[in-house]
Amino acid sequence: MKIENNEFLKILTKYQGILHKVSLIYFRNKSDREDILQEIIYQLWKSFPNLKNKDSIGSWIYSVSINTSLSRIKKKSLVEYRDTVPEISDGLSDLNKAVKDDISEHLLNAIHNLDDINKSVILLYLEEKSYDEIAAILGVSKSNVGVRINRAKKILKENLKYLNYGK
Amino acid sequence: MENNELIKLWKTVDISKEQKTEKELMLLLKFKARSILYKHSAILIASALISLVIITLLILASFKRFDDSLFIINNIVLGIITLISLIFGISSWYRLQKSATDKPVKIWLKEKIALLKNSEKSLASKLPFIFIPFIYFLTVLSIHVYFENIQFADIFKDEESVFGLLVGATVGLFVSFYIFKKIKKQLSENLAFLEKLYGRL
Repeated sequence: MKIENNEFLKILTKYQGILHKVSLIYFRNKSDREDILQEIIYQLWKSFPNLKNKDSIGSWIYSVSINTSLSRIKKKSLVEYRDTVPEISDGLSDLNKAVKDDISEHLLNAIHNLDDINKSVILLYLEEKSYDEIAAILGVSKSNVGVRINRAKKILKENLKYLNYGK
Repeated sequence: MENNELIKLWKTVDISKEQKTEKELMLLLKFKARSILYKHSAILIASALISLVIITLLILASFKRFDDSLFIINNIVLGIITLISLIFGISSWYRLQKSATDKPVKIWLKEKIALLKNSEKSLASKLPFIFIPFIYFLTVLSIHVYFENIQFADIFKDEESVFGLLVGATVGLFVSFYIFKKIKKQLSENLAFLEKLYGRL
C-alpha cells in the first residue's frame, strides 16, 4: 500500500497534539492510547480527501478523534457515569508516565471521572476553543455550549475537591 | 477554584513524551491501513470460500443423485440462499465499515444510531424466525438424504429418519436461536449506549 500524501502527514505532525490529548482523556492505559492513536490516524487519512474547509482542520481533527474514541470505548466502561462523586482510580501507572506531576495527575483523574460527553466538552474548554468551534465540533447550538461547559466545569471542580485538590 | 486555574492546570499536562515524528506517524498509518486491508481481505476471502465450498458440494451431491428431482430442487434452493446470504452479508458489513467519523459528534451519533436501529429492526422482525428454521431444515434434509442414500420422497416414510431429523433439528435450532439472541442483545446494548450519549448532547 502506498501512502504518499505529504500534505496529510504534515498536517498530522503539526496537529498530533489533539490526538494525544483526546486519547489521554478517554483512555487510561498506554496500550489503549497507542491503539486509538493508530485508529484515529487511519480515520483521518480516510476522510482527508473529503476535507473541504482547510481553515477548520483543528475542528475536523477533534471531531474525528472524539468520534473514533467514543466508538472504541466498550459499553461496560461506559455505563458507569459519575456525575458528582468520583472514584479515585487505581492502576494509573501508565498514565503517570505521561503526566508531568501530581497536579496534572489530579486533573486527569478528575477528567477521567466525568462521563464521556463531558470529557469532550471540558477538553475543548481547557484547550480554549471558542464557543463557535465547540458548537461545530460537537454539533450543538452555540447557546447550548455555554450551558454544557458550566455544567461540566462544576462537576470537574467537585471531582477535584473530592480528590483533595482545589478549594 | 477559578476557571483560569483549571486552564493553567491543564497546561501542565505534558504530552511531549507521546509526540511522534512524521516518519513514525507514517509508519503507524501504514501499519493500520495494512492490517485493515488484510482483515477486509480475510473476511471477504473466507466468506467467498465457504460459500464456494457449500455450492460445490451441493452441485456434486446433485450430480450423484441426478435421478432424485426433489433432492436437486432442495439443493438449488440452498445454493441460491447461500449466494444471497453471501452478497447481503458482505454488503452490510461494508456499509457498517464505511460509516465516516468526520462529522460533528451529535450528527455522527445520530447516524450511527439510525444504522443500528435499522439492523435491530430487521433482527426484530419475524423473518429470522421463519428463515433460520427453513434453511436449517433444508440443510439437514439434504445431508440426511445424501448420506443415508435414500430418495428424498422416502424420507418421511422411515421412522428412524424422522426421529433423527427431529432430534437434529431441535438441537440445531436451539444453537441457532441462542447465537441469534446473543447478537441481538449485543446490538441492543450498543444502541442503548449510543442513545445515552446522544441524549447527553
